[in-house]
Amino acid sequence: MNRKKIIWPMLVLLILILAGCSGNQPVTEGSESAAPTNEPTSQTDSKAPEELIIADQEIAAALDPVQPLTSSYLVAIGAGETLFKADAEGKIQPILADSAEAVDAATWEIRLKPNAQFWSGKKLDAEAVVASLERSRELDKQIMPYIQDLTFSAIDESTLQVKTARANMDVPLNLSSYQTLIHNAEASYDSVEHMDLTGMYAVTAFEPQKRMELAINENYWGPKPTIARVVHEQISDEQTRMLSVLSGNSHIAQKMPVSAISQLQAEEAVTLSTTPASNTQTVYLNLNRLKFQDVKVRQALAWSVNREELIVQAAEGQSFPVTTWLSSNPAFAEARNAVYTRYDLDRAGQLLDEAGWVLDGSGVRMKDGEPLSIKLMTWGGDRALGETLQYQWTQLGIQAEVQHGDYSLIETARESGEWDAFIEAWSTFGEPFTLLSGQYAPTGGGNYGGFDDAKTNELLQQLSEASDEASRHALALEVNAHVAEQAPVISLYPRSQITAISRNLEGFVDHFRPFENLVNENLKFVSP
Amino acid sequence: MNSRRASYTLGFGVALLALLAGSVLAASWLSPNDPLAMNVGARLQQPSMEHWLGTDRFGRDILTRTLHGGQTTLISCGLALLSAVLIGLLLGALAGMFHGSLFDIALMRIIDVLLAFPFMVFAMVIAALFGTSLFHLLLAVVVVWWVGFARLTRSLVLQAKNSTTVDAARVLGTSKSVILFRELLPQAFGPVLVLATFELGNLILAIAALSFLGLGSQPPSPEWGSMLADGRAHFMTSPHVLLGPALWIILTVLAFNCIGEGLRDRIDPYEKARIG
Repeated sequence: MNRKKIIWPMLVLLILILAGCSGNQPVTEGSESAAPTNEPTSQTDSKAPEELIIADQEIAAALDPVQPLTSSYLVAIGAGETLFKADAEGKIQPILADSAEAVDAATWEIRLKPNAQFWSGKKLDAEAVVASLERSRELDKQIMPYIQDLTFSAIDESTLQVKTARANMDVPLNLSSYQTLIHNAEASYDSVEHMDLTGMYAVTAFEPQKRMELAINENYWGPKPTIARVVHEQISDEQTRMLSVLSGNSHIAQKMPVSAISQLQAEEAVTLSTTPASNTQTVYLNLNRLKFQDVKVRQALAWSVNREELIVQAAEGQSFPVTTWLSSNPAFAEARNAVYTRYDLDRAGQLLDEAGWVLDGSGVRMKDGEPLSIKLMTWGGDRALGETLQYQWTQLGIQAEVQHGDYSLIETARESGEWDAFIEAWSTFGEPFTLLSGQYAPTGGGNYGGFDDAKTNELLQQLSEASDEASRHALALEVNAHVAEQAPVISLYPRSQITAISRNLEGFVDHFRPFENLVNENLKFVSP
Repeated sequence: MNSRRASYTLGFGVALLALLAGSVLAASWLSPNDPLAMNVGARLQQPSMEHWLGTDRFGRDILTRTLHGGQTTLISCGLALLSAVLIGLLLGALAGMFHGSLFDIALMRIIDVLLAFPFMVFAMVIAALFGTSLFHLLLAVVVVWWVGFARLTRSLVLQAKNSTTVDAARVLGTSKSVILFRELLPQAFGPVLVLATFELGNLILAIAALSFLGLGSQPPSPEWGSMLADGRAHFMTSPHVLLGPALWIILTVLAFNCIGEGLRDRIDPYEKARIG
């Protein structure tokens, strides 16, 4: 009797649950809910032609372009502009500048677009450009690598003079970085109403690290865009961003996870942009460790890396192998496989034998009773990369260990000096001397492992003094190849950057710097 | 009738656990693939005769990794729990024996603090201080997990301390240590065993959850939680990657819960009296 009392309510509950679940079934054609209606049924139907919604991992935290990374977001969404810009092939094109000319080895003259103006209608003259760059110099530390050797002055209303501390600097290249965004230095950037930039879109509403809304700048000096409004929305979780673009709630989703590529490729609603970025996934070795002071050990590690396999396992095939650091930069593409031309485990083993690290009975390389070990630290989305490298080095008889965690763990280890190796990807796009000296000069900020090589230093010195573009290019390649042979770092492949784009959006340009090239005037909505 | 049901539950739990433990211990024989060997040509393969549960993103056999991961999970959870039980038993018994002493008061306040501290946060603090590894995770488990056993043991010892057998032993001049180990602790074993069986299920879930967050075993060692974390990214296109670890976690926790319930019905005197 008691059981019956329980069973009937349970049955009723079960029926209710099942009924509730059936409400979540997709609406089928012909059902009442799917009947045609004049009401808008989704965001894409009602708003798509007028409003472009971009879902990003992070958006601006402030409006002032001198705040960290703010200029990057402002450039990306078409609100701000620089004097020059790198096109998709890596060539520097004038934007707010009309032309640039090297008057002598240490002087450039830059002519401004005659019709360029700010959102407010104020004319963009040479004085305004100087004021903008000087304000950035004063308030934005991140701009320093690009302009610390430059002095700006206005020759006339439309001509800017740039003096360089070093001879033969590539000034347009330096002035193409997003940190050099030109803004009205007389404006204040405490609110949307007060800010004043030059881009095709003007900010109309802003919630820090949540949402930025923009509308066409009616005073724009160039061709106006087709899409009336842009929304830059922060959705930190990558899976949510993916769902957002798949559901049509956003039209562009940035920084998609590599592991989602196969799913996104199978979706009809989106296309993918997977152009590798101009940065190199690099294993940095701690040269203060005795075992890595032997160049043969470092070279063996480089020879034993199967980059093709790494790209499949860790980047779902969305990149290409590079064996030299600089070659992820399109301008140095010829150096991609200049050293370590193939995966060669035998050669790696031979080098370790020569270095005294010989295989014992258990398949581990030993020297003086110590096993050859490497502890590789990874962070972010590089766990699979670390795991594959670990497996490949284990094949060589190395005791490889991967520690995956927060980036702060790597920073802490670097400060204490207690590390063997970690993976990081620095940008390789920029002036070669600045980039290479930053990585391989003894005082370079990216020279984590303490690499100090006489020939490298000499080549860097020659590079800084080279007078023409061809010799600078040749010397940069020489430094790049020599360092790869010395192997203080092991270059793997350019990090893939995956952007999902709604199929009803046309005009998106694949770019090796997708984080600052999201919006252009040719973007438009089409019928899916 | 209820007693028979308890036996069925216990029997089912033991049989299921034996099956799972057997499969895990015979991993090398049941699935002779290398759990660490990557095969770029066999990535994310669906279940087949060659790979019964398919392969993961590195082309590794999921069944092999699940079984080998079970060794890691079960052995480490068992060891961690054993340590926690021993610490809890000893400290709880001492606190009960010397009820009201400074040691008892201090211990109870420590227990209060540890109970108020979320285990996940504690494990993260340990990982931040000492790095991520299964050993550090187990250390965090032991540091937190003993409190439940200590509280239970203390209460049981307090109760047993006033029993006639203990009074008799005391009158006969038996030393405190002998009373503790011969008279009091044995009375706590049964309920502590029941609690431990339930806690083992919870512990497996907690360790899997922390490994899922990357705080436990490090690559390439297979472990159920980290296997789930690895498979999450491919779940939409290759849902089979979650099948092995998820199934083994569910069945193992179910087995321990059935064993715990069966044991409770048999050992716990209050429960026994209630079910008649």
